[in-house]
Amino acid sequence: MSKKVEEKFSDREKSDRELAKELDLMFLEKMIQSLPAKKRSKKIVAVSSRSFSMRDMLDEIRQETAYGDMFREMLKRIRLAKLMAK
Amino acid sequence: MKMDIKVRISKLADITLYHEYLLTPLPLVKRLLLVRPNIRSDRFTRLSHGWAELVKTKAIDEGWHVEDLSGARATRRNVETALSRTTLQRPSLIIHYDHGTEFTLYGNRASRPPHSFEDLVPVIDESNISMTAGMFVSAMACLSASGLGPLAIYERASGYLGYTNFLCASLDREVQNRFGEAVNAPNFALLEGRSPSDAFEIGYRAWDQLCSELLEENRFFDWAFATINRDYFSLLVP
Repeated sequence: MSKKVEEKFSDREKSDRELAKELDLMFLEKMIQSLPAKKRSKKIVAVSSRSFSMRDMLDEIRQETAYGDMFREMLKRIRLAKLMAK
Repeated sequence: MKMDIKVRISKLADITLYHEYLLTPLPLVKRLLLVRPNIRSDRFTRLSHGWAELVKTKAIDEGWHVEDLSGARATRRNVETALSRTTLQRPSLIIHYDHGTEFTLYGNRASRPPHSFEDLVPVIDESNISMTAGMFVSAMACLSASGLGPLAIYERASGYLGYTNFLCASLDREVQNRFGEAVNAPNFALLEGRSPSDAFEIGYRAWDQLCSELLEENRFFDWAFATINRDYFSLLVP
């Protein structure tokens, strides 16, 4: 692969990664909006020494923490499962 | 002299990971060391401490001698004392419940009622994992099978069950005990005298079964947490 093609590929990879993150955030935001107000901040999972609501998950994804990475993997699975269930 | 951790880690590539089969059952010496800290303000700990209580009951029913380092007794000193006993008194199986990171399993700071996260301290880590030589380790905690597990095998532990990613616990009251059943399934199998490979298969199937049920119930978030637990559940063997 020529250097120019490699650079293009790498730029594309980077922009796709950003886009995928935005999609994950949008997907989670939509899920949160669909919930009754009092459920939006309800803690739904304990991981390590912390508990997370869906809103907390959004923050972790935005900050690109290790928890955020796991939540993104989880969201990808949910999106696929919902598509497969249709 | 103890080999530097970086040197030991560099040798980990030689160790077989995942889905390898240990066909022989655990040694017949039924001595269990159960380590289960309890921090009142910590939701995960409160859940896992209760799950471990069921393991203790099961062990006693199956005729095991149980040394239960629970709550304030789950100190590093008590763990090391248990691991350094003479051969006949040493545990053949160590089961840990609670927090873990790549190279650390946590317990409590000292023999006093643990209230806050400050009381959480490493009880098994890279500097004392060699004390598990000859024993089977089951760590129902986050991440440790990715670092401490391979190191334990390098230090001649007979096997290591654990998780290579975060271990998630649903906080939905209707679901959380079902997570506990899946976490406990491989430990129950070990206590019944099943081989480590059987215990792994039973543990994997328990998560898989729970995943199917949760998906059918349209509990998508709990389903996703369970799939993460299922997919990162691992058996490491020499």
